[in-house]
Amino acid sequence: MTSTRQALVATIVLADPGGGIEATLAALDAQVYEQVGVVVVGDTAVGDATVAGRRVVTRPTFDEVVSSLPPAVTHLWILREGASPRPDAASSLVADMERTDAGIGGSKIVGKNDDSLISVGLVTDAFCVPYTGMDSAERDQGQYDVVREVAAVAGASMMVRRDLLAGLGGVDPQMTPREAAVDLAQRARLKGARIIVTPASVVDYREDETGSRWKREASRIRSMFKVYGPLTLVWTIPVDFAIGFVQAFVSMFLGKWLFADFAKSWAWNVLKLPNTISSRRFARRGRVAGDPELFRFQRRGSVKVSELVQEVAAALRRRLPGDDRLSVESIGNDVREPAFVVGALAIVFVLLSSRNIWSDGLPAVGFTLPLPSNGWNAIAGYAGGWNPAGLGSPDPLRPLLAIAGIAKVVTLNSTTLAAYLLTAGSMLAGIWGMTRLLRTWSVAAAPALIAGLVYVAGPTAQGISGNTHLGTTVALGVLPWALRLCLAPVSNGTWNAAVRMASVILVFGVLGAVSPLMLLVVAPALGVYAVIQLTDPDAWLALILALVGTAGGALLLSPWIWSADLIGIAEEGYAFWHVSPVLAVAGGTVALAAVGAGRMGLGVVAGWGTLLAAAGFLGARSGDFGYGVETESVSLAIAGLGLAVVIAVVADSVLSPGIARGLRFALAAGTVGVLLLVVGSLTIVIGGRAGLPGDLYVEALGFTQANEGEALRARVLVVGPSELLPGDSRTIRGGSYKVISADVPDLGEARLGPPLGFDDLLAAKLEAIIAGQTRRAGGELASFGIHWIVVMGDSSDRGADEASVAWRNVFAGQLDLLPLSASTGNTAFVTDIEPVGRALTSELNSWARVGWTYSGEPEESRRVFVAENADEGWGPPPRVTVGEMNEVSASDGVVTYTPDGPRRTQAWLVLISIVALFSVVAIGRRLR
Amino acid sequence: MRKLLPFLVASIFGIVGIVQVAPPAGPGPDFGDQNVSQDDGAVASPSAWYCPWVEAGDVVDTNIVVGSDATVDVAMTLLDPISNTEPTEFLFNMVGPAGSGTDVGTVTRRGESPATIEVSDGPAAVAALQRSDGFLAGDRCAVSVPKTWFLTGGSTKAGTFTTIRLFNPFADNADVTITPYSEFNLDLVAELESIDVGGRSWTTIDLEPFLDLRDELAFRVEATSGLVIPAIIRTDERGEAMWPGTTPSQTWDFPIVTPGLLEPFIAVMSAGDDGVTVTVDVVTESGTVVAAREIVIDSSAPQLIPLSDIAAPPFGVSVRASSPIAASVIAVVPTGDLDSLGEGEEPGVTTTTGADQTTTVPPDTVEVFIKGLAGTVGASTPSPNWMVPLDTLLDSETTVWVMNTGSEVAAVSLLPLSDGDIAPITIFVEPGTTQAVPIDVGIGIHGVSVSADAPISVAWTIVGDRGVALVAGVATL
Repeated sequence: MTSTRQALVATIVLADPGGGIEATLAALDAQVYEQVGVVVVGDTAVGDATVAGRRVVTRPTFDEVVSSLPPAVTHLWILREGASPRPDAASSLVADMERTDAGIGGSKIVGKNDDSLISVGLVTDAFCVPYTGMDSAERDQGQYDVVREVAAVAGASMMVRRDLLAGLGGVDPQMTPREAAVDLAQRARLKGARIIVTPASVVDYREDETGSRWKREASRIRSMFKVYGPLTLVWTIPVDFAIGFVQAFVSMFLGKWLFADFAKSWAWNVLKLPNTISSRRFARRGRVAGDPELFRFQRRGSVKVSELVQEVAAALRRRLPGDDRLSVESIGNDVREPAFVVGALAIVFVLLSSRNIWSDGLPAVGFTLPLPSNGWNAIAGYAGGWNPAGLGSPDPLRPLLAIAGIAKVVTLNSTTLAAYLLTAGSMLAGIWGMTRLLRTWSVAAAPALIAGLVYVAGPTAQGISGNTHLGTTVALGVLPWALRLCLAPVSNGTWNAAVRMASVILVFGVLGAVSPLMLLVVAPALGVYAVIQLTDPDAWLALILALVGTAGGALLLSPWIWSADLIGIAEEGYAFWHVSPVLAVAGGTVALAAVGAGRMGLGVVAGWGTLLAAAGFLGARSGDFGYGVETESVSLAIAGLGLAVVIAVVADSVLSPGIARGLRFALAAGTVGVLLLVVGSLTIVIGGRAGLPGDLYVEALGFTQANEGEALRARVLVVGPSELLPGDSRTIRGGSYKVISADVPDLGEARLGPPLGFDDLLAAKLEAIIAGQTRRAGGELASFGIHWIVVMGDSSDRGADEASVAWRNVFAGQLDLLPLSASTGNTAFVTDIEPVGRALTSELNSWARVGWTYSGEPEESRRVFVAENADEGWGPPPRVTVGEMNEVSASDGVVTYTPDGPRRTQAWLVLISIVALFSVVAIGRRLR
Repeated sequence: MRKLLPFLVASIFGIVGIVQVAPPAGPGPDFGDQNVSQDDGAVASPSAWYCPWVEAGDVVDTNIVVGSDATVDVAMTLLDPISNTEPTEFLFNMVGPAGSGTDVGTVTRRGESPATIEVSDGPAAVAALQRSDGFLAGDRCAVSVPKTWFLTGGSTKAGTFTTIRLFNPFADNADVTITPYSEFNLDLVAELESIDVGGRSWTTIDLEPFLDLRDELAFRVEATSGLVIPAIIRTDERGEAMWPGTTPSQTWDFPIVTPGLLEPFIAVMSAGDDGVTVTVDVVTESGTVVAAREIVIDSSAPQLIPLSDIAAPPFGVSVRASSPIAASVIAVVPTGDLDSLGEGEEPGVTTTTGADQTTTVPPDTVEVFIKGLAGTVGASTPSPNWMVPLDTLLDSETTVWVMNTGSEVAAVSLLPLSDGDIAPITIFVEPGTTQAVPIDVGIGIHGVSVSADAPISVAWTIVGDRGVALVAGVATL
């Protein structure tokens, strides 16, 4: 052995649960560079092992090792147990470090068995997430063999100057190895040290990531806290938290449950915060460089986000049609496949069809109203809170509001993103789900995608959107999945059954949440399918699953389901779908062609689809049988489903070889029908609102924001034709009216509860106004917090709407109203009364509505009158009912509503059930 | 079979679906027919009264009189001629039964100021009386606000001028079309179509530029959007008269048509598209001349029915028609008297009025100069109870006229309304007669609450040096 004697190097081997000490010691024994000694830190047993003739000793802690080393030692070579440095590894490190005057040097880490590159130095992102920059399974071909400065080096093998290590306070023992290495390198850089990687120093190692995931995350967060300046921390910590949350949420859909790791990592840091602060103080004391020096070795963007996007893309890729998934060659082949082209076009179509929702959010029209501004408020409102529709009520809100609230929370209360997620997401989910559903009957991808396109955008979907039933529009994205989950072949095994059952209940729950009547659709549809496929046990199993899903999904709609009047919902309004005769004929032709020309198996499915389409068609025009507009929308969804099935059968049959001559004509006619339906579907691109009508209320009611804060303090009485009013409305003498929040009501105000005392009082006041018993409508309405009156519809031209004119005449003859010219196209009045407020104190100060509470300046010993239906839940106490509304204390400066206890409990139980079902799905998918 | 059967069932569903028809259009709101007015009446509830013809300036003053059976708060809102200026509000209360007169000049003096008077309870009614040295004019105010009004009795013949005021006290702008009718039948004027009357404002339209030299003029005033309260003002060299719009009715009672020595006419117009037979009964203090006049009028032609040759004054009339008509009474200086106005004689210098002349001045010794112009609307239905807000002037006589067109004697109690207690007056009105009840002047009487044991009609007149005014009473509903 030849001693180069440029530096005295002591080797420290850190014990690792992965083992491999023998290999490590053997490799050290073969080093050409003489080491002062080898010390193993940790509880790994080394027995009487020797290296270079010196006995290997063990020490319990790293600090103990450092303090016991001879003073002459200048460098420490830190290795992980299991690492096998090649003979010249140490000498290369020493040589390059001395040549470049580096403080820390790292080795190139390659796979033990396959020469795969694991690490040639690291960069990180701003959140201290390590990034190697290499493809997975990239081979070592010397492509990175250059000595260079890096942000950090792998913890498997790094050499540190002893004086530097002492100045840094050693390696952080609380961290996992790789994160500790990154942390050490960053702290060294703050002190002006150079960190290099030496490719000539090669170490064989199995992997670079050890330790549990949550601990690695916790260590990474701790390293951020330790090295960054305050300004950097102000943005990196919140952004990192948000990224972590999104990653955990999205990962649920990828079959990974990361929420526990996410929570534990942050909780650990909170607990360790005092220690972290102390370490931070030490790390930053005497620094010669700042954060910009750290940024110099960091990559742009977030490593986590990039990885997440890649994972999502890969997951999507796995679920798209086609067998080859990942290779470049297969992608090239896919691009030439009709399915890929149609799929790409479908995505472009969805993006174009919903572009205005991306920019402007949901249009405010009919039952489609903007999502609540705060997602948590919406969820709390659903879970036993106050129903803000009209003059308020304790009536439970529809579950759609909880879904909207969740969408808002997930998108960090983004104004437009949540709406986009619901609408464009449901369209994509609908197309995708239809391809999955049709795969049940081996329908090829391209026909399935065409069917999906017509399903989410065709005449039936446009009918639903035209009814402005947002929930049913969203349900279009869920319905095929519900069917697919029931119909998909069942694998053996307890976990498979559990995963299937839990998935079915969850999907049915979502289906019912967005459209309650839709919950009742799947089981009958599959019942008919089972009867048609009489001898197919899978069909009957699907029916059983659907029944279980319906029952389980209904339970997930608690607390709303227990007070829901489903029959009332089904019968509200008048179901009559105005269908284009051309499209109706096209649909009939396609159905006839599908039944006639579909090969035997598909032909039966086409018969089922035809039956669904016809039943849906009948249901959509069943007003004479007593059914209402929600039935119409749900029936349209059924019709759309059936239509999609027959379209897929026709398109699939056209592409199939060997069509009998006699059937060619039928298929040709069917193809023409399909083309007409596809062209009809494309028309929704023009509006760019996923088929929803244009906005009606933002423009009509925007004037209420003219005076700052006024919209938060008062209400609007909107009157006119019921189809022009937002959501449900009440009627008096055949005239429709609704009290809404200014400036534009949100989704929580779409559905009115049964009228209560305050509502009856308003009706009586309106009756008196209509009868001409008073000419001071403004004063009469002010006690309800109504400051503006808007007559929707044309009330002035010759072709004016009768209802609009009648209402305008009522308010035209009032003495304390002032006309407004600010409301475009509608007649608007403002009351000549001051002050008007939804919450008015006894000192006549009006309080603003903040979320679903009221707040203002506290007034000691005063009262505040809350113009909401009287309810014991309002506070703070003492609360009394005055004139059917609430009078509460004004001392606190805030008026709140205490949620209904049993309903809140039910909501918690539902949440626990959902988490449990998700857990079953996540765990079951791993275990099966 | 597994394909065919579902297809057959689907076909049945499809056919049933196709035969479904769209729901019929809804009936729309039932808010009452706002195109047809209700009778103006005093009701036992809050009410708002609209007085289009109110002025307080350097020449003209207006008294607004309120009569009420109940204790009420009264809010008087006087619009400002300058747009976007806050109106003047004047509040007071009355301990009922009481009457109150308010000189608008003491509240605000800025010329024309149409007023809205809100009364917190009832039965109550409001009238406005304009006065100057040269004329007296006034009538009851309006309480109901129909979309369509009729105004009869206008004229633009030589020396006579007619003006229409459109008063919009409400929030919404009004789009109003005035359709004129004259002896030339439908007499359309483009400028009178689609007149915009802003909320809380008024418009006064002089008709002479558009409809010059028409002996008879009647108008249909229709608000296509918003609401207005119209009034017609007719002037000539002997005086001025104002009366509100009316609604169509098949019967009209005018308890008095002969104030002073003026020559009375009934101005009528068919409210429909058909010709109408109109019969006029003249009701004197001693009896009724049944069917004293019977004429047939065309649908688009107003008609002026002369009454002076039927009976000696004073008398009232009862008008019956085969279809609803609009009607008003016009009392003008007799044509002969106008012709007898010799050179050098100055109208207004002579202070003798018709009433004075009949009692104090021998006709053969003093040249008679009759002064005044009067007009009013009638009562469409007799009623046992009436609220008559009225005014008195020291130089004029105020008289309440009670007409009984029934078949029984009516025992009528008239309770003078003032700020003090005045004993009621009880009279008996023979069937088919009209009877005068003079009102004491100078003791603060501003109304009369009339109750009878049979349906009657009530009006009042004020006659004096300044001129003559005919004012309709208000039935208590």
